[in-house]
Amino acid sequence: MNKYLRSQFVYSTYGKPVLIAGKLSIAANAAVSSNTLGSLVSTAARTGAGEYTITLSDTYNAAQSVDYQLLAATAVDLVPQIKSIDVVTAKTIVIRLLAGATATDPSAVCSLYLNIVLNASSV
Amino acid sequence: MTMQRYTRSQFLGSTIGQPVLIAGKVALTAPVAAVLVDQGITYTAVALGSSGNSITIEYTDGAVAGSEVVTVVGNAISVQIDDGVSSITNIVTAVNLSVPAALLVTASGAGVTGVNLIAVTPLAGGDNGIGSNNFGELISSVARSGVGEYTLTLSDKYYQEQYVGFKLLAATAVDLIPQVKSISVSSAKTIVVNMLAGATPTDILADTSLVMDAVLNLSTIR
Repeated sequence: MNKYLRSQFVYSTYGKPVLIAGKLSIAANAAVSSNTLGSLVSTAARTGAGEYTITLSDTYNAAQSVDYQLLAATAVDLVPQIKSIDVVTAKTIVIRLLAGATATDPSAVCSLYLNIVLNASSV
Repeated sequence: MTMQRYTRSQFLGSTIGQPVLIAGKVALTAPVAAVLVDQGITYTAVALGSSGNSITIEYTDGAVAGSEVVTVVGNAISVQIDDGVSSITNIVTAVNLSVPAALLVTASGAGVTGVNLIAVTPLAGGDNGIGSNNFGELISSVARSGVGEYTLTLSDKYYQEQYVGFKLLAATAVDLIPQVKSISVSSAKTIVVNMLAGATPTDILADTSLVMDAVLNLSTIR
């Protein structure tokens, strides 16, 4: 295990950085079938055509970064794009899957990976 | 060296049991087809990349010029010619008309010059276009695994992936988007990513870097 123990700390200028990383498993009917985001996310659901809303369990001072990646066993012409982020009050992050500029449901099973860095401090 | 501005927080809060971060990039160049040039005939592998280096060409005697016979066994192409009489055009035509040979190579060249026998000779110069990477020892290899497809192999197994993301770094803008094809961190230890033009995996044409950031979990806790 030595190669994993070189650094136990994360240096940053964020007061209290919080990492949420996981995936939404999306079924062929475009609904979210499960997620691995953990307990810091209360719900993850389809909220419109090609649109997915992640609702956090808690509020944060800021979202420092929200990154995403689509996994599809058969290549699909869909690109994720963030629609909105409100971690201060609504506690939501909304992501759309776009075909061109049109939010579009995936037609086959796929996964949407998310990597979210939040700041739980005003620092 | 002062580290003060980095040390406001020393721990990253998360619910991931044992998060492991792998971040870095691999330099990519356009894959190159293997080639053999001999006596005015150029054989170019159909498939880009180093796989073409395993294709061989051989000329044997016994045919009548204009009725060359092409035989393919695996990646070995043998052309029975009329030694010194069969022309460049004769051989190019025969190879390109052979369905199994045309799956492996494209022959080009023209002329009436007689061609002599050659022993088994491999094509060469096929290159997958994989340059150096700075992922570190947690990634054991990066390989081109198909048209517009790259496979990263992890050194170790993990309980699960929390996040795997790719971006392209291209000095000249390119209309390609990385999309993950598959992830198996608990058994095969592979991450496969496609470069998509629309929904079509497509090879890069210019120097590019593929940037990855991944958060893996060594623990069953998440």
